[in-house]
Amino acid sequence: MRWRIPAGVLVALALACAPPERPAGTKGEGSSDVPVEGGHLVRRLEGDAGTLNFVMHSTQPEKLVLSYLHDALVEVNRNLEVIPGLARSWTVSDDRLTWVFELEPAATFSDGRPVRAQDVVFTLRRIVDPKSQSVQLSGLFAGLKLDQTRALDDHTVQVVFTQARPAQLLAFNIAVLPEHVYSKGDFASSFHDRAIGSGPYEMVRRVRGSEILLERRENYWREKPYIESILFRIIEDRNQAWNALRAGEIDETIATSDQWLANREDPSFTSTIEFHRFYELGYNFIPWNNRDPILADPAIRRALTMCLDRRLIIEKLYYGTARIITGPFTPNHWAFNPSVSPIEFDPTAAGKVFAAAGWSDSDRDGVLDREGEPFEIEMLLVAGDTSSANQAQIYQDQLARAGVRLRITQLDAATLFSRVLSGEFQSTMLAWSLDLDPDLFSLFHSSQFPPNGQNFVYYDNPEVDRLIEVGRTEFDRNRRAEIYRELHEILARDQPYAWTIQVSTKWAVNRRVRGVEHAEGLGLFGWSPGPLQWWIAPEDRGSESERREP
Amino acid sequence: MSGYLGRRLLTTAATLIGITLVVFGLMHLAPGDPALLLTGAVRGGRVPPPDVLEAIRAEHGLDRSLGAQYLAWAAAALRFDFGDSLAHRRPVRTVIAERIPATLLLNGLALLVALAIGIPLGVAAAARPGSLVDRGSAVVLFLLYSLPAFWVALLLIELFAVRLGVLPLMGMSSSGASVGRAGGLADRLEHLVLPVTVLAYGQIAFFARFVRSALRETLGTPFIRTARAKGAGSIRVLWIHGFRNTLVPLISLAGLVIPWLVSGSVVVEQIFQWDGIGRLFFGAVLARDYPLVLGLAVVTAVVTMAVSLCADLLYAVADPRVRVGEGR
Amino acid sequence: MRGGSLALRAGAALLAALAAVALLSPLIATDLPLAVRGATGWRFPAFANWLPALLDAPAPAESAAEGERVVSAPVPYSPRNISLAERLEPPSRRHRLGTDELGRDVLARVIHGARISLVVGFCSALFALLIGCALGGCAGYFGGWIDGAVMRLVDAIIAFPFMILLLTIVAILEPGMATIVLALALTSWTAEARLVRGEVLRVRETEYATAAKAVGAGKGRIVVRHLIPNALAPAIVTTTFGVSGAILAESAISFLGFGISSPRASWGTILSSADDYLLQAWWLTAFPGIAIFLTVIACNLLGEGLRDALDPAGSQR
Repeated sequence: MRWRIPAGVLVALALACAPPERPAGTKGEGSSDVPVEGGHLVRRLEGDAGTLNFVMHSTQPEKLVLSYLHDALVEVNRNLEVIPGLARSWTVSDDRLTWVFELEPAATFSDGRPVRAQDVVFTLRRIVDPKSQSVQLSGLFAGLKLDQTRALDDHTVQVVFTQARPAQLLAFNIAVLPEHVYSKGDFASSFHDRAIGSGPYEMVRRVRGSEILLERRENYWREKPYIESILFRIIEDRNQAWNALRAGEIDETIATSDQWLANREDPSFTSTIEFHRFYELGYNFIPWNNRDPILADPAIRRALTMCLDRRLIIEKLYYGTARIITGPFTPNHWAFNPSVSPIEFDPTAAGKVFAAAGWSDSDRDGVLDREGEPFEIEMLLVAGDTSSANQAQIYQDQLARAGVRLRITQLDAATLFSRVLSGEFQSTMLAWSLDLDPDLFSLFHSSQFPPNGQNFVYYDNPEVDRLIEVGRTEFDRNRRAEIYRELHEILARDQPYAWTIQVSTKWAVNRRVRGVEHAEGLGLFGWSPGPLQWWIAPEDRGSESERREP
Repeated sequence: MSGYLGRRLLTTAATLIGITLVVFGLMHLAPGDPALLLTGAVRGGRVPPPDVLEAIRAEHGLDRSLGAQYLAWAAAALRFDFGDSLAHRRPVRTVIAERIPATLLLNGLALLVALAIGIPLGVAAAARPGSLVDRGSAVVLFLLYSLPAFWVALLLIELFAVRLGVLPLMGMSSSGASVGRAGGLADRLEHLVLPVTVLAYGQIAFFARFVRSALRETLGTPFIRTARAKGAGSIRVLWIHGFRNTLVPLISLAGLVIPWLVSGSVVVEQIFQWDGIGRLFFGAVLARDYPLVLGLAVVTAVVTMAVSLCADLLYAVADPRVRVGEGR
Repeated sequence: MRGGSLALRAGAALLAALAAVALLSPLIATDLPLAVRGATGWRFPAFANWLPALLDAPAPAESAAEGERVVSAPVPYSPRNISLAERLEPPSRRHRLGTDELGRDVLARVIHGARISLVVGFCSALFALLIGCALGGCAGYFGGWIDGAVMRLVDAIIAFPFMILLLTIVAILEPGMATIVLALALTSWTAEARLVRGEVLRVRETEYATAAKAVGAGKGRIVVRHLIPNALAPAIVTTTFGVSGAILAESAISFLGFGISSPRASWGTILSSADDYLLQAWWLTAFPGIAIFLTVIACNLLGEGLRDALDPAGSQR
């Protein structure tokens, strides 16, 4: 699971979707809907790609650029099903420990060399080697048996694990790096600025801090995508990105709720720009430090959630484009438990819980106290993140009415994360981007306190530990769903986090870009063909040449 | 004089070492693990497993004691090797060298614009204190000065780049222009207009007021009145005698302003996505990119101290009454 | 010169008015009633809460019950009153300067912001002036190794870009008003120090210092009577810029996200939170902007006036 600052605009990868603002395919007046070759797409990157080494990549911008440069071993289609990629077929042994992949013989890298089984083995070895600093991928291949993982012939590779995992096949949604390129030089330092992959595009230029230009491979081994070249422009500031979209300098970016509301019914805007709105697999939450003397009590944590008026926030700050979540799974995931009802806003009931726990306002200063200590919680926020700051202030206001003082401390991200990961915090505001597999091991298993895992709230519940362990070794989807629904219920009751809301992504794209579809459960990116089926109508390419050669 | 220079150079070297020690100490005092930041965990990534973090620390020598880290850095720095930037994953020297021209260009132009407008305004105001020029320019300049730069920048962008579409939004050259040929001169100038304006407008007031106040003081001194009595024309008095005597404070001022040329402006560079030193420095501090922060600190410190040395020598030239390095 | 004293008086009056607004902000803009006529007589909740509110630790005082006679404050809103139903409302009779992105009254926030902005501006400029005068004066007067040490310290501070030093300090210390004042003071005294030193160096050799020495005046007397008044004038001009510079710097820090923590409001934080609503809500930027402008003008008038009053050359005219 990846965390992010909850502003939502930081994440470009979307895995889920909701009904579109308008049905796909009805856009574009007067032009045929038959895709045409050619065109130049300008996409926004919210930050520079620190590395273009697939094994080392970690941020969303890196992921986005790399998705054009590499084909994956197996891919995911819009229905969340695993489909062939570089591997045209695969088998798994009965004990689910040994996988054999048959590679597509036609597949080539952008330098023209074929994709071989040895390249797959090379890539896997790099992923599990700590020296490669593979943060995002190494966990997916824990328990890989290196001595038995080998190429059976040029196009057949065998991968062996010590432990069977239900989501193992999804882990093979990884690029394959050409050994003849990446074995030369120091792997961890030589490949930040160049990339050779098997994907439909290759990188032709990179200007650090400002842009990355990709061009379509003419020797691509599969059917080529329509768009000829893709320019990624690095624009960190979301208001500047919005300006760039309006000025026609970029073709797409993510909008804030306010931008969405202000423009979606403005004809002069919607004649050129179209909104897509969808839910990603992810949510915002307030982690409580479960080891904190005040916050250790689940009843108190539940009562704190009762003080948060999420419906008001959704209506007024998000204009209805967000929804309440109740626990660790979102409504667009199969592990979601629909029978868990949200903790409703009820300050009076919360007050009773606080009173029962011994909190009262004995010095009549408006803040509850117990044994001379005021009921005060410090919330750490990332400095400059106005979206969390606004929500925190609303929460502060609502908590104050229940006699709880919320102290907001704004820190730079480095300081905040180091405090959170070392347990020196009471609460903060974060968001998760969820993986397709619902495994909660890293988040809530008691073996995963920092530095081992991401259970930085120090949640410790033997029953939850047991269910998590069963869940990650159960292969039957229905039985797994039952386990995760039970986990959802227990966690919703214990509230190690205050699960708050799931905000839909508001994505704005220039109407000249056609064929944009978001898939049910997957959103715009991360599925096949996804953005590779976009095209640009010839009549809308007029401004391109101007932009390219003013 | 040469003895003085020797002492100056010695203290300068000592100051430089002091600066690197303080910066090194400050960076390590600030909470935040560079290894964790390097993995992108803060910008939407997974929290890395401990063995990966250890590998990263080992690779960059962050697992050694602070003393050892500093000494290793200092030994390399003496050979002008400032190590590799953690976040940029390239030599610090390369990263800084790439960014310096951008900041020099932006700040240099802004300074020129501010001086070109500020000095004549200041002289005009000093020539006729209380006149319409004096009062009027004071009000306008202070109106400008009191407008926060980020706000002006955002308004100018909205007006000129989005509404009118006559100037580019941000960046140093059009991405399109660099597709075909290297960004043309006209293109680069267009990109400079808004950031230079934003950087310059507040400083005009500073220079104009500074010149005015220094000039007026000189104009009151006896030798100017003597010059006037002798029949020197008022313009001549103003320029030759008056202005020359404001040279000393002007040199002080230059000593303040020139280091600024390389230090960059965080806010303006951030808004206009100008790839200069200010943004680089800001990002390096936030990313706890120790080698880059130290490298930048050394570069800016060397420039500042060189300028300061020159300024002190110039005092002697401009004002013979000041004897440089005179001990007591 | 008559203009000088006029400027002095006008600047001082404007600043005094601003300071009065800052000082009385808990009485001018508050949701507590100024006076309540209850069964037991008059009560004054806003006055009772004045000091705690000034120190930013407002204790909830009892407000009026049903049927009691109430005298409410001129701006009957607290700067912290969130009212999402009234988000981003333009100026109206109800909210004279409109509301912000959380439905808070902008007028109330600007009034309370005066307190924080003025404290930040004046404290940091004053500290900077004190440090700068002391160190610059010593450096210029004593010369030698003291001069060398001070000037290298100045170099060291200038060498480090001010915003970066500031951010580092804010990252190390808990963010807050004291941290920002400290950071601003520590980074901005160098201008004053250099000017004072330069002036002292110059003045030290001028006729009256030499003359004073010749007639046997003591060192202390020379410093107090001749060097300080002469050196102070340009330093004060710089400091007038310093106050407004500090207020502007605070707004820039707020823009980068490291300013005064919410929900407290300085003019800078109001301006920076308006970043996302530049077009939707002009009132969010216009009014704190005007407040900053007034303060800058006031400081400048005062500084110019003081300069003329202190300047011995000016007095000869």
